[in-house]
Amino acid sequence: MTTQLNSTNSISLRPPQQVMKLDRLGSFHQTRLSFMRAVMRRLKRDNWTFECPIWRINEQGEGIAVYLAKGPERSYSMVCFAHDLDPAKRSDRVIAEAWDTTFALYDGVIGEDDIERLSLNVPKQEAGRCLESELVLSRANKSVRLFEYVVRELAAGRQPDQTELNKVGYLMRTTAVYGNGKLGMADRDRIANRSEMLGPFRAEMLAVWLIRNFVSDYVEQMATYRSPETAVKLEPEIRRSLGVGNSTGLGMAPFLVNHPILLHSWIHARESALARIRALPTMTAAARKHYEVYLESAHLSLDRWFTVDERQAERVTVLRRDLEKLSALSLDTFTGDDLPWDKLYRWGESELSLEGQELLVSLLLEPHAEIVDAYASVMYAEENDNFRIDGSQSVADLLVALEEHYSWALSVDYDTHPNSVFFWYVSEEKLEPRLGSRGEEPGDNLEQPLSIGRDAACLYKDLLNAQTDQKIGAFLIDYPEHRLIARRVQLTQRYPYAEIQDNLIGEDLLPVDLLRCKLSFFGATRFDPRSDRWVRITMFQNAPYPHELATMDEDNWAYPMDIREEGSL
Amino acid sequence: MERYSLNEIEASARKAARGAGMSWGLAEEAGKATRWLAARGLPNVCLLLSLLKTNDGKAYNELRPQSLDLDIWNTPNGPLCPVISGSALNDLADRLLDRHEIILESVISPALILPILGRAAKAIGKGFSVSWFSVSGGAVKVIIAPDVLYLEQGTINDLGTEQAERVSVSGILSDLSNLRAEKSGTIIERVVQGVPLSSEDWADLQAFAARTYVPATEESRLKGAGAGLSDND
Repeated sequence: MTTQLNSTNSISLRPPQQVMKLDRLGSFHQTRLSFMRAVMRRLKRDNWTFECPIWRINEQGEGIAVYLAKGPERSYSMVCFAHDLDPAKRSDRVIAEAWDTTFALYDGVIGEDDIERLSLNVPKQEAGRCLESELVLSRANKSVRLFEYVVRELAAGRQPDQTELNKVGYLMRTTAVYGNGKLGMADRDRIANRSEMLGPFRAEMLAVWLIRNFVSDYVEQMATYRSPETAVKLEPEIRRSLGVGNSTGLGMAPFLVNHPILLHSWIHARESALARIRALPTMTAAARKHYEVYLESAHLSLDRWFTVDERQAERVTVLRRDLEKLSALSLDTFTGDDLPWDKLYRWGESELSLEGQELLVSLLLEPHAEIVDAYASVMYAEENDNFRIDGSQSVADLLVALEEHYSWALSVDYDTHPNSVFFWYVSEEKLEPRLGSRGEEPGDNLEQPLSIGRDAACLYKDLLNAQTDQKIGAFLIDYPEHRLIARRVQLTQRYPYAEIQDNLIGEDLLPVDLLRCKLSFFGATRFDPRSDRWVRITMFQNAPYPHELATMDEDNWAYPMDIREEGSL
Repeated sequence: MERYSLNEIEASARKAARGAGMSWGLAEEAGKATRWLAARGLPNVCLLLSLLKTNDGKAYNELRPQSLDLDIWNTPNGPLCPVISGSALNDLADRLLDRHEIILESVISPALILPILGRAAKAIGKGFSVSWFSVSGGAVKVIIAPDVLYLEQGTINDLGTEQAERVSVSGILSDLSNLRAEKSGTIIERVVQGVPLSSEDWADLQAFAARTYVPATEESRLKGAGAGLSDND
């Protein structure tokens, strides 16, 4: 099962030691492979239809709504609960106990009995229980600044000002989207073999897309209640400019470390697609046009990328300069040569910031649906099937593997405080991953196994003292503390993008980089770090709504649409 | 009884094993093993709990096989841990398939060995035979094929035994692909559904898992999650 890194005719995949650095992973942008886009392509291709069989929302904004998504083989019910929340209780943090809205995605067509059961549990979120008939549990809070403004404007018969909408980008933001067996819900095994769920986070993305639909219907309903005589609906273009916000913190950070094969499969798909495009012998006029239009809309998206984070604001400024450089560049320079896309990519490597380089990757993938999109369906992994340690490997061979794949970790002195300043732990209060300062806060005796670099270095040291022909199985019975990292090293031999090649407990760690990487694969935009440990994003902005899917382009929305009319893709 | 997902069971079992003193790598094995048993409708969390309760506070060296070179494994004093021994059997699968039979003199919750060998069987495409006498006297013999578990002797209840003497493990070189058709005993297959657990077992599991949690302080409440800016705007 060894992965070949030279799978294209002339261009090698970018090596893990280049790609798997946190600063680069933390510069990723959405691409054609992003899960939001993949799920929309699938729904469109299979002619899914959508209904709202239940709408019971009262004038106080409380009640229940159900949306039904019907596909060729199965249906799913999105059950939405709206609550009248005391503003003092509104918090995006996981410590919250009440929300403006709560949601569950139900497997099938839901009946009244199950709605009743869910109404007793879903509003309580972590304090309630679900069954295996539920696939996703979520909640969302209003953007206070925007929601009331939009209700007021619509009630008065006016459309909200687009500039005001762009500053926020959403009316509500989700603060958790749970799936895969959390709180009694179905394990992923239940749905993994369904064609519409082939790929990671498909159920979660479907749920978020339907949450966005509910929120827009809900804001219109509240405006109508306020002033039935004068209220208007949102204009479709304005409506589409609203996405769903999301606040994400440290709870998500360990995910990529704890799912090494999945991480490999995501990165490998993206890198394979890039390498194949770089290996294309020519740049067709159509692809070039598509690239140029997309570059223009990327410019526009930057104008709507607001962040209060100084580091990210600076990066957006640099990225804007990068895009200007790209726009100023004449593609004629490349089109006459062999491998024109490769030359463009390599120009970017020498001229652009990391943010710019990775946005260029997104731009290169964009015009090449026929090459890229097939990779979206191989971005999953069976972690369980690859869990076994091969005890017959020799100490000598494992040493070689460490030297080849973990050299980034072996040269660090972890006894120096800056190199092990952090420790990851799980808080008793919220059962969530947290980051502590070693020596300043208690709990480093309960450290989670996320110190991959240090653990690899410790394993290496003990292996050097073992007999080189000893089997790893025998070595591990003497050193059970190395079992976890030995397994990872063996995995990384087969899955070279499995490991983030940076010190996850060192002083330079920025946890938001871990979040950004994962969220970019979701398809998130407008990353707005609120500290080095949590970030706000926007999802599904500019995407069609369910009732528009049949008649609109399902995959031409990742960046703003304004330009598209002239661009006429 | 409340039903739990396999993910909840695995995650809690892994944390509980760690909380009871296993290394993280062995705790992962314990979590996966408990999930594997639960997914097949076999005794699961109760087996892990009797193991963790029996071995609570004991040092690793009291629980590991003293020497792997011999074909009879034992500890200096007391029963073996099935997670440690199972992992070692996996790591030494080549030797089992080289016609060696390994006897484990005494083992707590011996069924926890089955998932670890089940995974090995799937990975290398060979089978294993595991048999024991439980302390209460019932005989159990299990054939582990790459894709299925076959209970040749004993009942599913017997797999819940808390301790067994002379657990015998050997490799099977013959082709097991027709096991389903050839055997008339109990074929155990994967079922995917919520797993019922008693509230006592779940609470006990959480109590072990809670040993891995760090109590909050005022400082960590603010700093650990990195809040600071208002999130209510």
